Amino acid sequence: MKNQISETAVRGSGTEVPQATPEELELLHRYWNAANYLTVAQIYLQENPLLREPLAAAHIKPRLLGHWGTSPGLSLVYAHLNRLIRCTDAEVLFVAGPGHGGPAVIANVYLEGTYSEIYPNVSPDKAGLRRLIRQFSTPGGIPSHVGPPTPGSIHEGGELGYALAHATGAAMDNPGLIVACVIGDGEAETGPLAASWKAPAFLNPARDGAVLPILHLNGHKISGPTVLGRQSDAQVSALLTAQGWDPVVVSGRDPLTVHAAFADALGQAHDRIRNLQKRGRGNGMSGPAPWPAIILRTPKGWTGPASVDGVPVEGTFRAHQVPLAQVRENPLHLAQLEAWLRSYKPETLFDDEGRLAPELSALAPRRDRRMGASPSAGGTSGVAPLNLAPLENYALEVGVRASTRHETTRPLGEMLRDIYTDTETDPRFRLFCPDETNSNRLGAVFEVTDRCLLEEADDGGDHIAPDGRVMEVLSEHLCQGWLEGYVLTGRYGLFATYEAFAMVSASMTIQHAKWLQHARELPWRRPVPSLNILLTST
Amino acid sequence: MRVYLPPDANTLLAVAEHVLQSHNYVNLLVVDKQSHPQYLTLAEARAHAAAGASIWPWAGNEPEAARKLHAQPDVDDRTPHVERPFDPASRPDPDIVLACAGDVPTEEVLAAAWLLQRQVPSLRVRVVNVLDLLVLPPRDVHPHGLSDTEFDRLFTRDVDVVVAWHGYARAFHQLLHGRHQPERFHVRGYNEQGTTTTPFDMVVLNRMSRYHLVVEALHRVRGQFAGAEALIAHCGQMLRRHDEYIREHLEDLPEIAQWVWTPPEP
Ligand SMILES: Cc1ncc(C[n+]2csc(CCOP(=O)(O)OP(=O)(O)O)c2C)c(N)n1
Repeated sequence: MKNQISETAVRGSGTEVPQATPEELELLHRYWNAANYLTVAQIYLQENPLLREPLAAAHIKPRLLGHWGTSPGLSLVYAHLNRLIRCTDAEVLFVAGPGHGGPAVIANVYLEGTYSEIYPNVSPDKAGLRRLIRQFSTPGGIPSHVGPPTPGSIHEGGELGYALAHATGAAMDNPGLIVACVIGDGEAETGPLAASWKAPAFLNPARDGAVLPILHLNGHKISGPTVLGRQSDAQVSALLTAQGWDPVVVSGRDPLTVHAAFADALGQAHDRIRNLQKRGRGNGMSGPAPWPAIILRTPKGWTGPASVDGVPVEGTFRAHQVPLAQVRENPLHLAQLEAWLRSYKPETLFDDEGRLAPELSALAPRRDRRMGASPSAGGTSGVAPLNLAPLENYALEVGVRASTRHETTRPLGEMLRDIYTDTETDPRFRLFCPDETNSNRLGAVFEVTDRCLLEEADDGGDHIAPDGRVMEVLSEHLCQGWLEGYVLTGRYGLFATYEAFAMVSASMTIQHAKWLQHARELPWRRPVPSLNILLTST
Repeated sequence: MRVYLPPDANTLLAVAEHVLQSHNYVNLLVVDKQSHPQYLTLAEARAHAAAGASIWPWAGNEPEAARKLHAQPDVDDRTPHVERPFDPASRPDPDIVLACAGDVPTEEVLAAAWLLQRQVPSLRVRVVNVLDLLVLPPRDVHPHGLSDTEFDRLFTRDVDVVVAWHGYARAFHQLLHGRHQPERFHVRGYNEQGTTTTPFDMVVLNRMSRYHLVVEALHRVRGQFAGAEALIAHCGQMLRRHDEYIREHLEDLPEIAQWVWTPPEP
């Protein structure tokens, strides 16, 4: 599958991703237009999905709910990842930090075909397109956020902050996987996301997959600016560099320029990931890997209405949700929406039957590599069950009841130790803990493994090694977020934490429980290992 | 969502074996990392984990026959309950049920049961340990909820139940909502009291110590029992002694710190 698009224009030696030709960029741009068109159509339309008739107020949904602002950024990244996958055959998992951009992610899994395979009703034709737009954010339809019903997703839109932690957990012990993680500059202000930048200190290129953060600086949150959005490229780059990343900046508002630069940045990031892994897997590296990261600076609500009622919208916070709010009542808004939709030239993207133009369909990766069909997001497929030794190996002799005292968690430590030994050749278990493994009397695990840390050890360290499999970091959010990413991609684990601080990540627990509850109702989602939390008190 | 409070190491192992291999749940396991008395053999721990909550017959003093009689399940959950006149001799039920959830509360409940049986031998005490917290709500609220028959077999239908548990008392009451006569459950739990003090002082400050539980139990039982007055006085005295002792010695009274269960003489 390598270099399927073009055999020419290969930059440098060893690169797997050829530079995109102008024709390729033009196609990518049209694919992006298709995704943007379907995003706007989902937010606004209940009829006339192909816009073959003049737009009328009756075609507009009575209640307009959805997030436009982040969507063009998500779709840009998704379309370019498709190309990367076609060029390299990499397995890529897509994590949308701005999960409120549900219509963009749905547009993309629809365009690549996975959506219609899972939901045959929403077929790749006119009738399916009509269902696609009508179901979005409507009663009996689908939520406006990314969630369990979204193919290829392991990350719920809602409470912001956990995208990069989930991505990092998903990459652990998944050596072939690249997790592309879009992070909003608003989400980047949260504590958990700020903590998550430490991933390079914990991701070992020899055994783990890669996380590719794409920090999307569209400059605004719901109604105010973002800190990173106001900072210079140098400042934002320094933030990431200080945490061990090797960032590049792509910025602009002219689509074709950004397409070219982003395709380049993505190709280079991929090559650097593979080089780091090659070196790490060939004993050629020590210390944390300088993983690539992309800082993407594009306008919020890009390609949407520049201004509404004389007030600027594109590139401002006003683009966050529904930029034109009075479409049914205000003919000017209706006309503006129609012009906006037609700016994507839907008649050149879909035929009269609602089928995507063949040259655009061809831009989706091969069947099994489509991000909406990611096996990592699909549950336990391919992951072996956990085998436990007989409990007799660890059980205490009780004798006269309640007459001898013992630390209750110590035998559990021995059990975990043996799980580590048993999974050594097929790693699928990790213990996550904010620096308390010993104090929780689980220290037996250190007979067979260490604390994971890629930073060079100083002489005072105890059981610290780059290939250690006990994940200790003093952030309950990170411990739990990593474990969630790990179990949602089919592996097993335990988060051991002090009960007194359990509330730190309690809202994550609730969000995860809701995910499981919803996922259970979807037959195409396989069961995932449970999220196990050991709360210890003193 | 599953919440387990294993009272000892073997029970923790039995629960861990289950949760680590399970799918699609959030499992919370609550344990104390300090040393605690160990109660169950591995086989018993497995049975206890499978049941979620059980009577610990060795920790109570109900006559074997009474327990057996009561263990016959009702034919039908909907069989109307017939109020029996109070007749201590003929009643199969115990006089009081002591229930516990969590390792520290379990130790206090056992010590309370031990004191009651020694000092008030005519009192019939039952000890129930709740390992899986979500057996408490009715089954239509949570899939682990016990049927009413099973629930009543553990807690009886109308005997008072003194509960010591690891969390907030009101949270326990919330779980009991929908059970028969929930007002007969008298719950002691963590009440945000205590910081850096001795382990036993923590349970004293949260009014969940063995002495508080004994006094509560004797206050709730119906009928007169020889030795009850003296034991209540003893408990008050012990709480005062405890208070003085820890201030002076900065650690718990030896007879409390080193308390172990001894099986009652036959
Ligand atoms: C923890 C949390 N706080 C507040 C919100 C409400 N909220 C939803 S979207 C949003 C702005 C997000 O900005 P950003 O991450 O930059 O995304 P984008 O601008 O791309 O939409 C906020 C504050 C939330 N979802 N989660």
